[in-house]
Amino acid sequence: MATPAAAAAAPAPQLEGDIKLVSEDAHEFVTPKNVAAQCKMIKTMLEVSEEQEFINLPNVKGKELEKVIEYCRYHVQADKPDSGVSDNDKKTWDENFVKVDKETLFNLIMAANYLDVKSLLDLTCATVANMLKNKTPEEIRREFNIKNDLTPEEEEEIKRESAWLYQ
Amino acid sequence: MIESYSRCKSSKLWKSPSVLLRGACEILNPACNASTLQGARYRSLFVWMGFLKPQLPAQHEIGLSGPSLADLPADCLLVVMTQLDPVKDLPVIGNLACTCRALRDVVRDEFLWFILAKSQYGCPNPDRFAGSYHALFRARKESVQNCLARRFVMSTFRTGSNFTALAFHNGLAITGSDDHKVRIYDTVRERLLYELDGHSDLVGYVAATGMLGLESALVTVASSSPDGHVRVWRNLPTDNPIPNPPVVDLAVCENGFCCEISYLPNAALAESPNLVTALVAPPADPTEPVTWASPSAWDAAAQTPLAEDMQGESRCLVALDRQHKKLKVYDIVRGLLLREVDAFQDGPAAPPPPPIFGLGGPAPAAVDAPHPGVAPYDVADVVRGGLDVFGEDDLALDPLAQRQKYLQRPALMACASRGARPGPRLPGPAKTHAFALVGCGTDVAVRDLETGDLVASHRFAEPIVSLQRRGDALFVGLRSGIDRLRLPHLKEPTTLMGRPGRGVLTAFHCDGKSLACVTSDGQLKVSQLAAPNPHSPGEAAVSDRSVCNVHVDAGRVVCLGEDYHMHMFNLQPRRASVACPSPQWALPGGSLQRADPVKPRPGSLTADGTWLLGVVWGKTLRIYDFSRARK
Repeated sequence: MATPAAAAAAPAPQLEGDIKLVSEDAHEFVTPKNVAAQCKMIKTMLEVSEEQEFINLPNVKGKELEKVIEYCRYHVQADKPDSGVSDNDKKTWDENFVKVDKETLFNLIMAANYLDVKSLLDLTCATVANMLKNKTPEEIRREFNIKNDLTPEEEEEIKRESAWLYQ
Repeated sequence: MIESYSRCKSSKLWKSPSVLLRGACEILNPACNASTLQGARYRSLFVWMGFLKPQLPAQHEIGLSGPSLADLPADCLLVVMTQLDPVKDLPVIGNLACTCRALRDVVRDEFLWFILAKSQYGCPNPDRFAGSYHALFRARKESVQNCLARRFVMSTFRTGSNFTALAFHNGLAITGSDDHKVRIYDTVRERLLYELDGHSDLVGYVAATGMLGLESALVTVASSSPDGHVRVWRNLPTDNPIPNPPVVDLAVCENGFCCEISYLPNAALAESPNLVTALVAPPADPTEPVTWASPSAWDAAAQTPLAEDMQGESRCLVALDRQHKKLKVYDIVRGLLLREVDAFQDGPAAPPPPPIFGLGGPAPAAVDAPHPGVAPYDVADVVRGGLDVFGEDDLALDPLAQRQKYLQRPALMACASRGARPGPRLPGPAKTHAFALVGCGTDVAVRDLETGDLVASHRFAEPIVSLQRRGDALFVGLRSGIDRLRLPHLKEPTTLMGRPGRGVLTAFHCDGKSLACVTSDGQLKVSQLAAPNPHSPGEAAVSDRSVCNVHVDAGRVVCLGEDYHMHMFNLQPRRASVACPSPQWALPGGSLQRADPVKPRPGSLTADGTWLLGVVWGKTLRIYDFSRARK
C-alpha cells in the first residue's frame, strides 16, 4: 500500500491519443492530449474524464485557439530533454510568436487566462507591459484606444495619490 | 482578484465536469448576462468559468476602433502590471492609472493590494516584488491605507442627495434620503433594486423585514418622514424587481416626525417625542391605525423596547413614563394597556449618558447622531439613563414589571434574551423552558419565561454596561472589565478581562473563541478564551478617542472609533492573546453612521464569513466586506 507521500510523488498518468477542441466559432482542432494538457483547464477536464472526445471552449475563437495550440505544441517539443532547443532559441521563438496585431494579442491574453496557460499569459502580458513603457498617459491612451473618462477632479486625485510612484 | 481566481481554480467544485457543463449551458442562456452579475470580482470569475463573455462593448460606445487595453479583465491587467519592473517601472503604473477609470481602479484595487498582500501579509513564496514594494509602502503609509480602504469596500452607492436613514436586511441596504425617496440596494449584486417615491419630505427612518422563499426573497419596507406619513411597501421581490410596487400609506402621525419606526410582521410602530403610534396592518387588509396618546411627555431619554409574547404573536411595547413614575406595557396589536407599574421611584439625576454602543440592539440613531448605531444581534445592550433597547424577539416584560426594584434606578439597563421565536434557547431544567436574562443597574437575573420564576440572580459591585450570551456563558461588561457567569444559574463568576486603567469599557464582543473589548480611552483588549491565561489579554491602542463599537469574528477584530476611523486587527494565531495592529483607515466624507455584521445571503458568490457593512453619512454609502480581511 502506497504511503501518502509515495502517492503524491507518483507521476501523473500519461495522456495518450487526441482530443478535439472546438472553439467559440465552431472551428475544430484535433490535438494530441499531451499538447492540449498544457492548458491547465483542459488538463483538469481530461483528468476528470479521459474518455472525452471533444471539449467546447466557448470563450476562445478559432484564430486564437490555433495560436495557443501552436504555442503549446512548440513548447512540448522544445522542452523535451533531447530536443536540442536552447533557451535562447525558445526566447527568440516566443518573441516572434507575439509579433501580432493588438487585437490578436489581447485575445491571446484572454485565451491564455481562460485556458490557464501561465507561461503564455506571462509572455503576452509582458509584451503589453513593454509597450507601456516610456509612454505618457496620453500616449498610452492613443496606443491602446483608451477613452479618457476621468473628470479633471479625478485626474487631480490620481496625480496626488500616485505622486509617490514617480519619486 | 488573483487570490479568488486561484482559489476557484484549485477548488474541487470548479473541476467538476457537471459544473463546467452547466457553465457552458449558462453561457447560452440569454437570461444570464452581465447586468445581473455586475462587479469586476465576480465577472472575471464567471468569464473564466465560461458563464460570461468578457465585456467588450466599450469600443463602439466610445467611438474608437480596435481593441482597448481597458477592456481586458482586471485579472489580466493585473498580470500585465506585474510584468513591470517593481522599481524602475513604477511611473508606468502611475501613468496607467491616469489613463481612465477602469485602469485607475485596477491599479488601486488590484495591483496595489496584490503587492501589498505579498509584502505585508506574508506569502509562502514571495516573488521579486515583495522586498522592493514593501520598502516603498512602508515609506508611504498613507497610500497603503488608501489602498486598503478601497480594497475592503465591497460596493459603493452614491446618490445626488444625502442619505438620511439606513437599515440593513439580508444583504440589502435600505436607505432614506433628503430627496424624499427610499432606495433599496442589493449589496451582493451591487445594484439599485427600488427607488420608492411618496414622501414629501426627507425620509427620516426606514425599517425592513422580509422572508426568503424557495423562489425569491421578499422584503417589506417601512419608512417615516417629517411629513407625518408612515409608508409601507410590502413583499417586494428582490430577485426580479417589479415596477411601481404598491404602497400602503398607513397613517399620518399626529405628532409629525417619527423618532423611530419599527416594522413588525403585522404592525409598524412609530415613536415621536410625546406619542407612540402603533399602526396595525394585517397582511391582507390594512386597517386603521390604533393610536395611543401618552398621558404625559416622556423623558427624552426614555425608549420603548418591543417584545413579544410566548406565542410569538402579540407585540408589546414598554414605555417608561418618568414624569409620572410609571412603567406601562402596551399590547400594540390589540390596543390594550396591559400593565401599569406604579411606585416607580425616581432616583438622583442620571449622569450625562456615556456614548455607549454595543453590538446587539437596534439602537436608534438620530439623524444627526455622530455615533455608529448597532444592529440587531444576539442580545441587547446599553443604557442612557432610561429604559433602553431590546432585540425584537426579547421577552422579559413580566419579570421587568414585577421586579420593581430594578426600576428604582434611573440608570436602568435592561437586557433580555430569547423568546419563543425560533432561535437558540437556553436549556432549562425541564429542557423545554426558555429563560430571560434581565440586567439592570448592578444586577443580572435569570427568569423562566413561562412561569416568570426567578431562577438565579447575581449582583456586581458596579453598573452593568452590556451583556452578551454565548452558549451557556453570560458575559457581562462592567465599566472596569468583563466578567463571565455560567447559565442558567449564574455560577462560577470569573473575571475574564483585566480592569482597564484610565478608560471605562464602552463595548465588548465575543465570538465564542475571542473576547474583545474597547474603552473610552481608545484601547482595545483581546483575549482568547481557550488560552491558558485569558486574564492577560493582548492590547492595542486604537484611537486617541473613545472607541464605541467592536466586533470580533474568526480571528479578526474590527473597531469603530469616534474619530471616524474603522480599525481592523488580525489576531496572531500562534500568539493567541496578542492583537496585531493592521490596517486602519479613515472614512472620508463624514462620519460613520452605523455598521452591521451580517451573513451573506444564501447562494451569493461571496466567500463564507461575516460581512461588515458600513455607511458613510453623506451622499455615499459604502459597504465593507469583512470576510475579505486577510489573516
